[in-house]
Amino acid sequence: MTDRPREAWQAEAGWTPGVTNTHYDQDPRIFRLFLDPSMKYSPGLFPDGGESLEAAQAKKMHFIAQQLGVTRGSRVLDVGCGWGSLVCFLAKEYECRVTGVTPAPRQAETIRERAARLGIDDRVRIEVGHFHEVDLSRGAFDGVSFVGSITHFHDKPAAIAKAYSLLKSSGNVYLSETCFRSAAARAEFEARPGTKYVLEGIFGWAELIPVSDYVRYFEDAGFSLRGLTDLTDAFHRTIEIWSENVERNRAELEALDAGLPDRLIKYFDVSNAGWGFTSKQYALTASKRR
Amino acid sequence: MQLQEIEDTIRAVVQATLKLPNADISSTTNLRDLPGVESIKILRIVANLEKKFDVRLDDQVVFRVSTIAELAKVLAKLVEERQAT
Repeated sequence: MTDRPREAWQAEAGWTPGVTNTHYDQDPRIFRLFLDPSMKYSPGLFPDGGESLEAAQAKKMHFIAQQLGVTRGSRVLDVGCGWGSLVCFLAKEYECRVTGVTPAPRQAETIRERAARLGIDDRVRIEVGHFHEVDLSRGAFDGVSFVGSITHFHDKPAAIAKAYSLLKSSGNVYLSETCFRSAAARAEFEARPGTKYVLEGIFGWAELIPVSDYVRYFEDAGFSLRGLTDLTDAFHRTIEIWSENVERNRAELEALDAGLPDRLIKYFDVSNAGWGFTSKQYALTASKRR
Repeated sequence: MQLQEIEDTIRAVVQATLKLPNADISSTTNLRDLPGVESIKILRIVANLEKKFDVRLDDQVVFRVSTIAELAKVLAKLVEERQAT
C-alpha cells in the first residue's frame, strides 16, 4: 500500500502482524509484478526446459493433481492456499470441489473474486484462519495439499496429523517445501545471516527442516509414504524468472513499496546460491490407505 | 595437475565471484576475512569450483572453507582420485 501505513489496513483487515507471515499480507499488485498470472508463489515444472513461467506453473499443478489422484468431483483441501492458483485450477480443470485455507483476509477476497469470474464459485470455498483453528469435516477429503505452506507452521506434526484426520480412508496428501539439505546443513546454516534474512526478514516467520523430519511426521501420523520428488532445479529456474520479472518491473515495484525490489532480489539470490548446498526443494506424497 | 596451477584457478574463481578482479589474494588469506564476503559468496565459489574441477566437495570442506591453499590441497586430492578411476 502506498497511501497509508501497512499497519492501518492490517488492523482494518483483522490482521495480527507478527503472528503469521507479513510477506503475504502485502498488496497483491506487488506479486502480480513478478509471479505468473495465476499468482502461484512456488516452483513450476520445466520438463521441456524452455517453458514460460505460466506454462510451467500449469504443468506443476497437473503434477500435483496426479500426485493427489484427483478426478472429477473429488473433494480437495489446499492448506495455505495463497492467492488460490491451485484452488481455482483444480476446480476449473478437474471440476474438483476445493476448500482453501488462508490466514490472510485479502487473499481470501482475491480468490473469491477470481472464482466468481471463472464461474467456479459453486465449487470453491475459502476458510479464513489458521489451519489448526479452522473447523473442517473429518474424513471428508480425497486429497489435502500443503504447497510451500507448512514451513510457516509452528507445529508441523500437528498439521500433518490434522490432515490425516480430514482425509477419507483412501485419501492422499501432497506436501512440497524447501528443506535443509540435511540435519548437518541445518545445524551449520540456520543461524547464518542469509538464512535469517530469508526466513525472518522476508517471511516474518518460517522454519526449514530436513525432509527426513517430514518423513517421520508422516509416519507418526499414520500415513504410508508413496513418493518423493526432487524439485530443486525447477525452483532454481522459477526464481531466475521471478528475478527477471522484478528487474523488468523494478520502477513499478519501487513505487508500490520503496526498497522492495532490492529486498526481493537479495532473497532470490540467497535462495538460488543455496540450492544443493544448504537447501533442497522436495515434494512428498503419502496416502492414508494401508 | 600441479598444486600451483590449482591455486591459480581457485584464485581466478575467487576474484571473479567476489568481483575483485585485481585483488592480490594470498594463498594463506582466510577467504571469509575478505571484504564483502558472506556465506552465499562462499557457496558460489564452491559451486564454481565443483563445476570447474568436476568434483563434489564434502560438507566439512564447504562449511569450513578458509584459504586458497587449503582448498587447493583438497581439490588436488579429489582430482587425482577421479583420474585414478
